[in-house]
Amino acid sequence: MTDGWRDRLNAPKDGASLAAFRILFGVVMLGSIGRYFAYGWIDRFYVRPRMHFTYWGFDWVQPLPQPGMTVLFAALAVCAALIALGLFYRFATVAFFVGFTYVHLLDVSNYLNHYYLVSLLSLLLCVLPLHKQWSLDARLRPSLRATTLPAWMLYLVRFQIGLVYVFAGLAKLGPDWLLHGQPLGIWLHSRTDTPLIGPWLDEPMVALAMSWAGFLYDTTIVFWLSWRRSRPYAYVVVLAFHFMTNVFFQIGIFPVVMTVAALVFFEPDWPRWLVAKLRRVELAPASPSPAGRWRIGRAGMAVLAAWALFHVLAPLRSHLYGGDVLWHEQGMRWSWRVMVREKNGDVAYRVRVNGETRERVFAPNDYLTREQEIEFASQPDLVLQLAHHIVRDLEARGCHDVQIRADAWVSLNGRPSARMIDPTVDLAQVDDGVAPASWILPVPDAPPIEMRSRRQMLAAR
Amino acid sequence: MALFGCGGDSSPDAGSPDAGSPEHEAFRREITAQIAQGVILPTLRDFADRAAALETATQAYAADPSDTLRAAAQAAWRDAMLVWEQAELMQIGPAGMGGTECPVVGGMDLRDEIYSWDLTSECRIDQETVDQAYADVDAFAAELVNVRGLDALEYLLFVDTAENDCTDVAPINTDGTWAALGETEITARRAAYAHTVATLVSREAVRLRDLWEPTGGGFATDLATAGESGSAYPSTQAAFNDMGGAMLYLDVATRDMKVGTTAGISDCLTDTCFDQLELPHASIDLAAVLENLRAFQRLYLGEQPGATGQGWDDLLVAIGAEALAMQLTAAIADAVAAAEGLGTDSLETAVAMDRPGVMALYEAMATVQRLFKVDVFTILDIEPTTCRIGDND
Repeated sequence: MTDGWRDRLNAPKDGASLAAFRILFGVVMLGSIGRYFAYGWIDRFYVRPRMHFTYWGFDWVQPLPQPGMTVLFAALAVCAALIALGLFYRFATVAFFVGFTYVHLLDVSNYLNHYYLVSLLSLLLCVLPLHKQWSLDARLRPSLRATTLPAWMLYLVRFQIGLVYVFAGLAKLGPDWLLHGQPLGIWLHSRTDTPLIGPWLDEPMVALAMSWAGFLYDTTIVFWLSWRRSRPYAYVVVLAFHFMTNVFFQIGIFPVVMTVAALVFFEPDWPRWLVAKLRRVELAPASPSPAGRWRIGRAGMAVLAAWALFHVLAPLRSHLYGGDVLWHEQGMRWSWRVMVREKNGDVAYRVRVNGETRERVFAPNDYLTREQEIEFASQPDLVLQLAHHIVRDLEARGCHDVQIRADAWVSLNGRPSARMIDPTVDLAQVDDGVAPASWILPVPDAPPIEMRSRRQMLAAR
Repeated sequence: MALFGCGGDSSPDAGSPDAGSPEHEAFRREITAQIAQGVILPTLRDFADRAAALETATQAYAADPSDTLRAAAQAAWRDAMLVWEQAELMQIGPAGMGGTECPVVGGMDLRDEIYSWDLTSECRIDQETVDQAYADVDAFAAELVNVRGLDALEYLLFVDTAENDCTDVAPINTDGTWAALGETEITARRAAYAHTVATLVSREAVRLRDLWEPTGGGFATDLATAGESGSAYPSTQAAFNDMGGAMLYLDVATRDMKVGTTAGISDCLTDTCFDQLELPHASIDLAAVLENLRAFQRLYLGEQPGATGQGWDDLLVAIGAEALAMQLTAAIADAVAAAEGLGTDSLETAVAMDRPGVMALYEAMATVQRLFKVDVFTILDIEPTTCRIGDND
């Protein structure tokens, strides 16, 4: 049975779709890096902040002094271009992966699921030889050329991308999304000026219907893309879905990344089929190239299985904590919970120093940029990190016996605001870590806001 | 609080929704129209009038720097200042932030041209007093904003000493130019300087008002017709985003800086930090806080208390958040009552006489801001900045 699997995984597959994936990935990343320059994000996210929220275990990752960060982003842009061109591919992929991952390890408040996806995909590119065709490397080094690749490479990329959709769908499997149509109802209510469809967007039934559509889309689109007969229609739905998310939300390159990434579910020869169609010539089948050192054995299969298992289990770790992950956020990151919460918070710290009983209030904006403040206020571990930072700051200013408590109020999906952190707990005594956090209070019992339909609004007039 | 869509005094003729608009959008536009035409524009008109009166009063004082005319100029400044304290929460459109990084719609930075707190530099004002650059009003308009706004005027009209605020090593002290002036000359120069500043403030007040007037720059119409073709606002949501951002002044400036820090409640490691008072010479810091609160109340309710109008509260009621609307209305009233209950215009006096009362005011404002910044922003999906703060997913 193992041999059967191994043969299937090592079977030659046309490498054209993965070559196209490499090219498109490089182009999209080039655009993504370009946005950092265009919008001044390098300065705003990595230079201006006086403190950075670090990932647990990665507090040693610190930003480079300027112009280091700007040079790094310029280098990332060059690497992205090299990946697209397939030139110095090995160097470019490794440098891009290391550089991009470094940048996004610098500050948790910049975390986005699609940046995590880009890191993972660029890591796969480091391993997979996607420059064997349609690349300058292959043109310069004929010995490199191959028109087929072992099937496991295609399956691995498909798995990585499919996982995003499936877990994004499973994240919607809850009462807020499926029974209350939230937070989509909140978002759509504020977009009633959208051309054509705007007049219907304040109808709760529309929000609920779109919530269900989003849930069904995410959980099933991989299947529809994988089935040859439904694939063209499914891809039209992919285009429509990501076009809509791009219109409604400030979602950056995510729709583009996913639209491009979904192409890997097409037949592996689709780019050559497309070229042949455009040139009006017959599609020539790819001649199998020897898998050579890319053929995997038992050890390779074990590594693939371990990789797959890790990526299936990691997003599920939030269930170990109990409660509502959208509230306590333990296990929230790296779990593909994409666009499932509307959350705003307000945090003030009450501080006692030098054994005094008098409390002073510290506002986060003394330490954070506006961008950091918006992100941090609803994420308990970041509230804890800033508390520790304030303690260190006060100790550096000569204070001792510093106690710090947080008044952290959060509204989730339109629920009335409630305390997120136990106000009696001295956060100076709390260690950051992955253990369940008893200092985070449970999610309030109240349901999300039930927004009025237009009919009800009219009745109120 | 007016019920959803109940006429009120928001005229459907002036920048009101067109008949074909969806109900929800039309209603949101009724609110932006009411806030533009019923709250902000009247405030700016009032301020322009008071700034003109201030210019007149300082002109008389400059011509005759007597105690009587100084008192009249001080009274005129108070009148103007307290109206401007309401306008502080209305920093949208031309008064709001311009530039390229995080501008509000139509932002031209005019606020700083009128009032530059907390950038005020009293030493710089003393240096200008020595240099007499203020003698040329038009040229003085090019000076940094922190020597020619209402904040500079407060110092010039109220400071009770002939000393300067610079350090001993400052040139005006090391070269003896300040000491050479003498008390009478300093008073005369400060009076003349005050007149120049009042003239510039009045000009900017008229400019700001005219930029809002439907017959002028028409920004009130832009806000009233947000989302319609021709409006500077691409959507009603963009208008609410800007208004919400401007109302956060109560959180960052009023609660944290004006009350919290100076009263030693927040970000102050000593008992009090009165060196951070907003208006230390006129001693109307608490009156200023009260005006900030009243402005927040007017913007939120879209009306003066007791009069009808459409405001944020009506939008909350319309979408089904009645409890929140009422809770916030009550919280604002509590905060206003807490400020009024202190019975003085001076925060320093209030802290000395009734520290728990000041603390209660601080907490009442914290409640207002929590409900606004957390609950209202969540339900209405307010993004209080137009700068591209990054992506989402």
